[in-house]
Amino acid sequence: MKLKYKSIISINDFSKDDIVYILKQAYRMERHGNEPILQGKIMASLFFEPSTRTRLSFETAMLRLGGTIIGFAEGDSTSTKKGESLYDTIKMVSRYADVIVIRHPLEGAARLASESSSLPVINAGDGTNQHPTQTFLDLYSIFKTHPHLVKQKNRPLDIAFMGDLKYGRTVHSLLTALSFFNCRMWFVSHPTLTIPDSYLQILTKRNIEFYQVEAMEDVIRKVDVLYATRIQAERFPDPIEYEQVKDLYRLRRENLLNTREGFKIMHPLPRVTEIEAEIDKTEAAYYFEQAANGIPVRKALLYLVLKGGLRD
Amino acid sequence: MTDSVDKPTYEVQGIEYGTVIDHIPSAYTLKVVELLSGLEDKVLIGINFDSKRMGRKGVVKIANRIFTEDEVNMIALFAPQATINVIEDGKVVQKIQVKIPKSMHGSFRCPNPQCITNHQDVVTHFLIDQDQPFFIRCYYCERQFVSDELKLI
Ligand SMILES: [Zn+2]
Repeated sequence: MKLKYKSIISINDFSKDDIVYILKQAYRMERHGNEPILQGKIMASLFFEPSTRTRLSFETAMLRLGGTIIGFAEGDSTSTKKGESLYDTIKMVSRYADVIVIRHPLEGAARLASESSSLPVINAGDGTNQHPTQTFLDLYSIFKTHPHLVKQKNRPLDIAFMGDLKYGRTVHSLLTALSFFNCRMWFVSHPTLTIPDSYLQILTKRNIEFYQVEAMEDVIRKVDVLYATRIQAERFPDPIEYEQVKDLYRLRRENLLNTREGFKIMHPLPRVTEIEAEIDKTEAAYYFEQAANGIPVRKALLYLVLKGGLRD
Repeated sequence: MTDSVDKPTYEVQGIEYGTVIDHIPSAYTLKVVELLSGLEDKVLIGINFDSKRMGRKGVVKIANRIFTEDEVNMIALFAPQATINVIEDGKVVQKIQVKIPKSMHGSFRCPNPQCITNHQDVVTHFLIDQDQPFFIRCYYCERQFVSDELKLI
């Protein structure tokens, strides 16, 4: 797929080759990415709901490449409250900027925005639906820490997903994209938060081996990556049950004993209590680097949609 | 075509010009009426008629209306076995087997309350995966649905 002037809306729009190409571009950005190669370009950063981490990451990526930013971050206090249509807002902004980054509480908003504009639109999260740049940075983190495992002829990458697998959008998108590659998946969750069947069907279709387990101790020594997610209190009608479940899926330093060489813990952040602070100092902790990987990934995507691929 | 037209169906109150939708699962007969007929249409409805192919079936006759391919294919989501008989001068002049459409615009509301199409002035758009059993996906919010969840706009 040629990405110049294309929008980045959903991970489901990308083939395996597209994904590999984007990750290679991100790798190049780590080496060349502080040159002003997007000088003169304007990014409209439209955050209809607040998401400080994502917004700062996009804005840093654009500024590092020499571009400038317009936009808003306060969501409800803007024109949406006055009933202005998303279509009209996007139409107007399209006259000012070269690329649009949109975060919106409603699902499908980014797709609608991309249809309202001839500019490339990058989805920075639409409700509980998609957040493709998060997925790309997760994939990038996995491939960067385990490059040899991406190759088809090696043993598969073993990855465990833990926490809220039922509602966790980052998990759903990541496992869908990873299912193109040579890997084996382990799903660790409380019975009330298991992975939806529709995702297991995708894995079956793509011949991915997977296991569902309840206890983290059963898998932590069998995997290369543990992808932990936050369990939200709102998912549990009974606060006592929430407290118990939360504790079951909390990583402590002693859990890391005898884990595989190169074992990494990833997390989309923010974390609450899933990973105790003691782990931060260990080799296994990768979540802060993972967040930092958002910069080369977003640089690569901004450059790709504005100018095409970066050569070596 | 052994079980093509169950004769009595046409003899009891036939129509001169219009469309007969045959081989509808009985439970979805009224759904088909809802999908295809307008307020002014003359409609004859048969439910739990005997059928060699289906055991029991529903039949709907709509007078003075001929439907487009897109319109009849929409009913394939609820009645994948349905046959459409175009009637002229009291005779079947064309017989069409419905096909599950690849996409649908308008017609149905997205069942996801958080979908942008339920909050802004947007024509809904669904994509249908042709796998068996097929499923319907909203082009905007990407949620998957089964036919029973869809409501007409
Ligand atoms: Zn929808």
